[in-house]
Amino acid sequence: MSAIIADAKPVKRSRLRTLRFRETISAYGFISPWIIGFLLFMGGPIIASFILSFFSWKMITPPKFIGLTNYINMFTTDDLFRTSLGVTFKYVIVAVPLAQILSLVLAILLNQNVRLIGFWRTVFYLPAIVSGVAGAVIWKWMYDSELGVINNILLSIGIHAPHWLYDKNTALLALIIKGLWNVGVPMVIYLAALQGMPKYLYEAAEIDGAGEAAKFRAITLPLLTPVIFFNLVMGTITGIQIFAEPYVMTGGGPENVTLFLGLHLYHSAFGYLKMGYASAMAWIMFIIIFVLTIFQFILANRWVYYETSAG
Amino acid sequence: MSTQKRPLRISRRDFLKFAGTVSLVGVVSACAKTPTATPTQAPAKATEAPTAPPPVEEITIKYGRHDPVEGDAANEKLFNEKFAGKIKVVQEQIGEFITKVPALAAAGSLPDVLRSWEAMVLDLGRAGQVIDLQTLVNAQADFHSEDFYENWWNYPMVNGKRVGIPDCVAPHVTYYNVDLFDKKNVPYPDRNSFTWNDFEEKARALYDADQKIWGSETQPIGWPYFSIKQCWQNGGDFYSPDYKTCTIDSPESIEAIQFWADLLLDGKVMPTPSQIVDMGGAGAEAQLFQAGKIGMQRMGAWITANAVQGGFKFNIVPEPSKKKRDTITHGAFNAISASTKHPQQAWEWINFHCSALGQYNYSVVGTFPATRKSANQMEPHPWVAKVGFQVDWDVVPQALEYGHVLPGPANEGEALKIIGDAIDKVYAGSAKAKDIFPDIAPQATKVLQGS
Repeated sequence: MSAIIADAKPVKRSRLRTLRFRETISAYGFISPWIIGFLLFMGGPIIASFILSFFSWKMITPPKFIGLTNYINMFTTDDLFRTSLGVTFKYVIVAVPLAQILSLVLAILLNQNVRLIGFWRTVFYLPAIVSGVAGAVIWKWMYDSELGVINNILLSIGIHAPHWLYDKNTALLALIIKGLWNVGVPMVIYLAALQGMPKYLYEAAEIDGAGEAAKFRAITLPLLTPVIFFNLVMGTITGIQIFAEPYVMTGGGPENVTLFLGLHLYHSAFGYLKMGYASAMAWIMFIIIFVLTIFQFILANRWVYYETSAG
Repeated sequence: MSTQKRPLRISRRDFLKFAGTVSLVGVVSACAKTPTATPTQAPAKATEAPTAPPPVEEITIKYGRHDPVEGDAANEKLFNEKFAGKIKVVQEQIGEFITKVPALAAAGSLPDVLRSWEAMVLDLGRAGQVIDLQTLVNAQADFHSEDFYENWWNYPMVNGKRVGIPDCVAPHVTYYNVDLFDKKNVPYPDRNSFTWNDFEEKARALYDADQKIWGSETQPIGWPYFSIKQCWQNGGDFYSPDYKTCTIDSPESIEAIQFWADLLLDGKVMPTPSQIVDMGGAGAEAQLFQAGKIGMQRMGAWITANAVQGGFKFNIVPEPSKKKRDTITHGAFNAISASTKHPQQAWEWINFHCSALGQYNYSVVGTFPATRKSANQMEPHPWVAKVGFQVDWDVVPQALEYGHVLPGPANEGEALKIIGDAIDKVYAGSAKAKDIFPDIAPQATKVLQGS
């Protein structure tokens, strides 16, 4: 018996038969539809647009390799690119902080225990589920000088409102105000964070005689900083990529005061048929967003408080 | 040891693996090209009796257009009846035309025949996306190219190649509300001597601030080519004849744009641009005319229906002139794509559609004239509406004799953006034409000359 055992050679288990390998294959099998979709509809086009950014391509003619010319022209000869960058940054600097303040205020209000609070939460969240184009069309009508509800309300209280979308002094402001209508998503995130606040901290503060303002400043705000940071990052990214509103509501006018970077990119691609140049612009937009996000992460170390990292 | 057979059990994981594999195979199979049938019959030997020729397969020609297909339904029906069993034309309206056509061209899947407007047909011709039609024209004994209006026949040429054949055209003329003129005791415009100064004088006389009535439609913003006719009327232009230079900085063009900008900014001649854009843009102006709020409307002949629906008496005169009579004549061209497999059959459709009868059938629906003179002699004239008062309808087809076809330079989109932005600033009062046009003209020239 021992001889039989001594002579026995160890059974080579085929790699295919190991449980771990089979599970790995199964896992990849289950996520393969998503991977294939990503490669076909996102990864592939992303790589293609990067390569295209070094070409001049009008779609109706073959592409021509031009190296870095698109990138150089963007910063040296294209005045509209600089204009669109300026408009986009103006919008982000004003609209993003305003949106955060408004959504936080709304979240605090919706965190109260009052009647019909579920109804009010729904009402304030509803604009977030309206598609960008539909919302833009609605607001375009609301801003109508003659028939729009905004000017009619203002006129009823004696204020002659401007031609919002057709006055270069108010067109960008009109888009910023419209953007504030879509604060439903950050509002819900703030609401969730507020509802997760530990109650014992507030009780302890009340015992120490803290008022509402002091409780907000000392407890609520610090604990909200991670959520504020998240919403700021997402808001900045969304703000830089804005397209539907200027496209539908103003077309970039009047006099290019609402010519956002995304819209100029679209015009370059489908208006001027400069696909290579538009691809280069898309990559510059990506780099801008990337750099800004990194910058925000670096700054976050100074003001974002994570409970778990506290000593 | 038990000898009972154990029932076959498949685990959930195995089942999902199997189902996923089958699905993937199914998706891949569905995406695969259908293999074409390969002939299995051996070729006939020389000594065998000749077999009957195979039946002619009906060839389908796709006709893509930017406007609704109903306009050409009559032609489609007549053509398919005439060529039943041999050629069948199928129309399709291409949505998002401006963006989709280049994408189709890039994919090599343009329709066999494409109906597109002025600049696009020239662009496609420059890119080699459409074929030279001159040889087909020459081979068609009954084509009669001399029947076309000269400017429309001479237009679609790229490097000596004919890239399109025109069909119908809508000229810009001036419609005026006769009842409004009578009410204000303003003399009617004289069709033989209607000048810019006459236009301004009559518009001011018609203005009624209380009733919100203006003498003129507004200077349209948003499409710079609405303003090009004013440059032509003053002897200027946006571009040089070879489309290589932007000439909006010429004294004639500067004077023309500034004249109409001053009228716009005056406030007593025409509504402000924001008032018009609020109501839907240039298209809304026809509705203002229809509502009796505008005394004179300069626009394409398609607004005849609006004028009739207004319920008031109206008449037509040419556009006002400064140094010469000129106007926009706006239409489309039919081209055969270079990727078509059936150029001869595609030509049969163009030959039919652009014949006198074909153009007449289409113009009846559009209510504007054809680019063939013989089609414009057929009655009833399509541009004539049945009204109970005298209208100088002949003004409409006469415009084809002196009017300009819209220009079609290379890189038009970008050049027009530069020119349009400058014109909008002048119309907004933010800048004077003499200050801004000399700055932007070189920029536009650079774009026109770019590859």
